[in-house]
Amino acid sequence: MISGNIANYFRNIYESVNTIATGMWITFKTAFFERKVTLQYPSYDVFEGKPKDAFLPNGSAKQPFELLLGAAQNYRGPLSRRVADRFRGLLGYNEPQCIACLLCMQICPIDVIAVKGVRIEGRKGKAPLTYTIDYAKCMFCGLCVESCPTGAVFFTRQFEASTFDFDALAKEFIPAEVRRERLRLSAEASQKPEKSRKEKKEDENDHL
Amino acid sequence: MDNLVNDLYREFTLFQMIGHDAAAFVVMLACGLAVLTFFGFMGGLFTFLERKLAGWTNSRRGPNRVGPYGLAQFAADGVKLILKEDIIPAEADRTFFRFAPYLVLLGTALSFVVIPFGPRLIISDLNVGIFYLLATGSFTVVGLIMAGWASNNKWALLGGMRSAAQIVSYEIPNALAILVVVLTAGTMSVQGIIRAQAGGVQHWFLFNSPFCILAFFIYFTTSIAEINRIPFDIPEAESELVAGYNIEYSGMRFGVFFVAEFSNIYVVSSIAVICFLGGWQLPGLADAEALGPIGRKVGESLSYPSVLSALMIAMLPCIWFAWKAMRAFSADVLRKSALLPSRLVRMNSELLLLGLLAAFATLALLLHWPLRSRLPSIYELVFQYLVPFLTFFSKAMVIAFVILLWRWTLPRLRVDQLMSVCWKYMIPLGFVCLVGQGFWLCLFNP
Repeated sequence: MISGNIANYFRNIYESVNTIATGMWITFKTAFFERKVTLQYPSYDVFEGKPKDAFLPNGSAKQPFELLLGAAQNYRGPLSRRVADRFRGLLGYNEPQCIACLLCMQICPIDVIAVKGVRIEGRKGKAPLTYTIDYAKCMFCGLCVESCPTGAVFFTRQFEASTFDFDALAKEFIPAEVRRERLRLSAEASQKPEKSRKEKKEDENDHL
Repeated sequence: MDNLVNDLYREFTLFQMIGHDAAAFVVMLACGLAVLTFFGFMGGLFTFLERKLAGWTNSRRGPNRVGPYGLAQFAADGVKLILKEDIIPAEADRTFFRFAPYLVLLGTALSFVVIPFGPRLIISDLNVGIFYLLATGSFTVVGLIMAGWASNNKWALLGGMRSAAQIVSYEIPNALAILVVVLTAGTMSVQGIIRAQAGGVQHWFLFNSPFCILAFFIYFTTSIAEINRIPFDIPEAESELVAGYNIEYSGMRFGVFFVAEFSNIYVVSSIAVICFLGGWQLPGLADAEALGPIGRKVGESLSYPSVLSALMIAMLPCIWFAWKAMRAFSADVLRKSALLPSRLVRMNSELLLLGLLAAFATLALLLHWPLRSRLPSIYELVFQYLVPFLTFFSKAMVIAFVILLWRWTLPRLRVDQLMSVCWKYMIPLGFVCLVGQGFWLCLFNP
């Protein structure tokens, strides 16, 4: 079996050289001929999918080697270079559409949303008195977005929520003066001798 | 060294005033400083290149935030390391613990004594130069063991012992591969070996015989093992030994290990260049005769005043451009960071402008300086200093680049695999090379 051992010895050498050469070629190819996937985020506009500021000294999208080799455009990788349209970012809120039905508040598993509403004249459903989203707690499950009947609460593509002030993450969407105005309106409405449902019905019957 | 000292002593009255011994001391000091500067610079450059290449092989960009293309990254790293706390474990052997990094550094720095940068740019052309390089290469192992032992840490000690076993084992095939070259060149002097490869690519020892090609690959592989780099970085195998011999080191002491390790890449790649790739010889260009009589005439007609005035004229737009760029850059820094006061940035740009103008003035002064005839002519300066230096440097960088790329290609060897690669494969092949080259020289070379 000595000859077999010797053959094995040389096969070992051959295989190690061969595999090393293959590996080196792959790393060499990747290092110099493949497009870099890094998004240089603060100086790259991830919402638009293009460099934000061409004059940043190191923020430009292309590096000299890429320019030299002209390989930058050949990238067909899996990564999108912008934030997806249906990205589950921070919750957004569209006040005019809100009917303060409290569905979002009730379905939220961790009490992120707090809503209060009153009835005022000239507005469908209720008008929200307070609408608070505590971004510090939100886990982006999307139950509120799914349950909202009017699309008042929705996902934005925004994700930059860092702050130095923890309390600032609990965001109130109804300004104080709007709330005061609505309270006043609803108080006025309640002071009027409001017709009960029965009376309303009778009125209608009278017409008939 | 002696030649350099004697030349300078003869030429400069300043040296004659302070006497021969003092002049020798000053020259030695200057050479030492030059070596250390180059050494630190190479260490830094390689840390930067390594990180950049790591990024590129992973389709990332690598460091690109500090300075243009991230080139100042290593300076930032150095500042960070200096500012870090220097912790010495309570149970460590304090003396040896402090001494070990410098021993490692010394082992690497000593190699630079015989590494040439050109036919005349060498600190000392020892007649046992390549032997000396082998000796200094194994010098670091003392420092590594010392670090491992003095740390009073199991992992560090294991790492130190492993590095000792590894370096001592791999020294043998390494020396055998170099012996092939010594056999072919007939000398151990570094410059002698390079001069023996004069006259074109086909005269490089790499292409001398099949045994030389084999010896080159043996040298390349074993030298990577000598400097403890992947795939032979058993002494600092993170998965087994946490960090190996330097586990207890922090701050600049760790930085010294780091710089030594990275400068070692340059040392081993320059040895490869010396032994196999013709050193500073650029085929055709480096030897003056190849340029022909016209080229020589043109070269020699270039005088210092004409070249300096050309430089001065070229510098003016450069100064303007650099100043503008600095202003733009500082404005950008201001926009990005609230940490830097605007005054500081503006001051920096003004300092830059002042420095450039000072360089300009220096050139203008040099233009009227009474130059001595013994100073090298521009022609000599370019073709005997600059071109050989660039040739040597770029050859070494190509080898170093491959060494860096190995790291991102190959996985680490197991300890027993490491030893079997050395003792079962490298050493027998090394002997085959040596004996085969002996026969080859007898048969084919006069």
